[in-house]
Amino acid sequence: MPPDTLSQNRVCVKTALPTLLVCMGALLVACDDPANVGGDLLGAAGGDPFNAVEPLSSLRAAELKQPATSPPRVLTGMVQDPVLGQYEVQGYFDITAVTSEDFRAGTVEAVELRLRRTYVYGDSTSELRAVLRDIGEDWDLDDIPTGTSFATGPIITEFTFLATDTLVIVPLPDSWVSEHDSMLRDPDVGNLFHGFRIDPVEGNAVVGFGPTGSTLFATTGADSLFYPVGKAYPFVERSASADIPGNRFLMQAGIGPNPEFSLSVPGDIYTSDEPLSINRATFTLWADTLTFRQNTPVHFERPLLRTLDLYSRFPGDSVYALAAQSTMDDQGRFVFESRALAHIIQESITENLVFEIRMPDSRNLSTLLPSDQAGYYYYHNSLNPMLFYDADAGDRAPAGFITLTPIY
Amino acid sequence: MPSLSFSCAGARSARFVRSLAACAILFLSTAMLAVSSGMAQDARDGSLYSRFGIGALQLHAGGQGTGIGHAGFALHSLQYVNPNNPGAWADQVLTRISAGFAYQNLVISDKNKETSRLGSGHLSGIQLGFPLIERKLGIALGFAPFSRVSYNVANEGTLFSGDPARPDTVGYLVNFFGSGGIQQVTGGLGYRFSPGFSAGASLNALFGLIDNGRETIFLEGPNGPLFLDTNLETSTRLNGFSATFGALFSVQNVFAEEDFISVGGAFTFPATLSAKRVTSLGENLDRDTLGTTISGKIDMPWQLGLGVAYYPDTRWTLSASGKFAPWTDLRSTIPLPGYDSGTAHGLSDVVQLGTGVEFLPAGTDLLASWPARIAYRFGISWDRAYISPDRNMNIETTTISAGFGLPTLIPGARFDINMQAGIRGAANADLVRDVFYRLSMSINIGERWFQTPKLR
Repeated sequence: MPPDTLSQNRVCVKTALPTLLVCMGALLVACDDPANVGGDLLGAAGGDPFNAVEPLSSLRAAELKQPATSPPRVLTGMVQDPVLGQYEVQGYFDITAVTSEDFRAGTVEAVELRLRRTYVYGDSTSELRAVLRDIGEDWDLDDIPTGTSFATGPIITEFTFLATDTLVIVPLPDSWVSEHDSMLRDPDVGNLFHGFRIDPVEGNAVVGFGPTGSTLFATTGADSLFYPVGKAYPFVERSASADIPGNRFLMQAGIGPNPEFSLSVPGDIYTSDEPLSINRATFTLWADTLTFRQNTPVHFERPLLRTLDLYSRFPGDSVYALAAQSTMDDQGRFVFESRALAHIIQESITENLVFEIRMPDSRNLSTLLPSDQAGYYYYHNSLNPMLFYDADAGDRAPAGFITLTPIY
Repeated sequence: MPSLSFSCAGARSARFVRSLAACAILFLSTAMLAVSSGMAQDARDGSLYSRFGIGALQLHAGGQGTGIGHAGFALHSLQYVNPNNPGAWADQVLTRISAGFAYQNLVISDKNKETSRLGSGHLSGIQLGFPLIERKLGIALGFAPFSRVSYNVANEGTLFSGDPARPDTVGYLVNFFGSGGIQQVTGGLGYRFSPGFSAGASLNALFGLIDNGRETIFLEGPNGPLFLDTNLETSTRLNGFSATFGALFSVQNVFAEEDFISVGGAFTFPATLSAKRVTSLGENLDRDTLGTTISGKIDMPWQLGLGVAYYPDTRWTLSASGKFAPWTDLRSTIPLPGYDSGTAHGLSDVVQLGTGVEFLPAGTDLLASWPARIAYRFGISWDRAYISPDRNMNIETTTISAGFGLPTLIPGARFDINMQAGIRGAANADLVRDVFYRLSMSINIGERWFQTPKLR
């Protein structure tokens, strides 16, 4: 090939080919825009979700267990609730051991209980009278059932205070001080001393002390110590009331029970041959706030369980898993819904799932409640109640709203 | 009959060709990996018609055949390995590797004049051929998509909560998507029985993975997410074999001196694909397998292709081809979209017709200028798809194509660029219209391999 022809060819290759490619590339530039074009071609291809309303079973009573991790608030008092009846609460509490060399070297001269009130249930103007006793045995909080009591000694002292008092100081008698002098100065005081129980004698309120700011204060000539409250447990007794309307289920902190229910309907859609996918699950439980509102005297405080957890238990399993959480809305409903709940139902779609409503973990609850509830966020050492409509309550009965998609 | 002579290439040129050949082999390996089941799953940007059956059947005619309307059953060229007719594989001089890639811009429109635009690229095919006995006995291997599934369409809806106390609504999309397809690896021989007749046979291995999915996606507001999306996906693995026999008749000096005409045909036997399907359900990638694997088989029909090509001189090629396959005989024991089990409802026999012309101004003159050595091609084709979502209407595709076969500085190597524009279906009540623009490029390299030099 002659050199000039070869040169012309190379120029052609170098200019014409890239130009051609660029022009065609420009023509073919496209952006992905998969709009809804052609959906009609698919015919009945499925995939459209639908809703199903599933009634839940009647609410059953599940035992309330005192969690070991609950904040140590001392609950004590007695109250006549116009709706729920008479309550008497004995407050068990222990102290946390602290010591110092100067304190151990001296002799305990005076001891007093300093109790900071953070909770009141009942007549806030009431005057309360109570007695203090030593606990006579070692005790622990690990999943103790409600209604458990522990041995106590004789009355140490009696004291009186108002439900509105924010700080109650209870001096302990000299005889008790001299009797417990060596024990209080022992570094192992936490094991040697088992704590106190406050028994109500008179009044129309249940109060809570602590968990912060409540201590046993002891002084020697050279030093003084604050023993903080270490653990607390309320022993609650309730006399039955005839004022609770029918078709209601009472859930109450401190005494229980917790409501439990099942999601299983005879011949329901889950047992059909058509497999389904769960997209959303919502359980709605209605609270009877009207009964409370209409039966609350002036100055009577009745803080409610406004935020609750829903736990689920797989069939054949005793371990519960947190499924959802709900705070009562302005219509008085607890609406439990979460992706976790949908997952749980999906995984056991044909089984008889059991659900239990519990009080939230105290560590999380403080961040969930509105600021006006902040003072009451230690549900586990309280008497906060909630009255639920039960299965026969018509359109206020507990119900599940399930969104499903047929698989085929 | 076409003939080709090569100028003496220098040592540099030879090294370059070997490098290109090595690159092509690497390309082939990579491409086979790329189109294998796993990596091809995310391509969802093709025609919605590919959802139905085993996907949209692919036409592969090589760099030359694509430019002339897929009219390749009678093509007779020393510069290309004819992928459509094993009978043409006897006539080989050089070891030849070709690989092609296509990019498609697709505009889908419906009766409401709504449109969506999608762009996608895919491997169009790879061919390897070499002579065992020069111009007597040749062998060819090929890889090309047999069918392709690639679509993505969404239907919108609104769901009322069903809770009378909270009458809220939520929007949702039901998104249908599919990807994958069936690939075909072909290997065979062509033998020249006489100067005017050659025949060949190939064994075709068919394999692939077709994924069809459906997602129900909820369009939640700021209070979400509370809904779990439903993601249902079926993966069907297919494999089977078929065989193709082809023949090519050539006659010289038919209408004029130096002209010749060739008539070719290829028959592919019916194939049975074994299928295994797994269905999984879940959210996003976290899916659970539903039930057990479903096994079945798909019976595909035979196929006959016939063509004629006329070469008035060394500059012109006129070609026409037709193909028929009785796809109404398709039977599948596993459910396929758009297919009524055991019946021919919605099925049609495949007919494909194509014709085209190639003009090479320089003919066999390798010393001509570069533009004169470009092969200019034009063609038109029409085909009828084997399955239609509308029982009363066939899916027909009309395509015009134009292309260039560009010579390179290396003798025996060509770079083919083809452009196609076509219309598939119709924008009526039951169908959509696809308008596609496709750019395909292929490189075609030839060199003497496996032959001992006569002089040392």
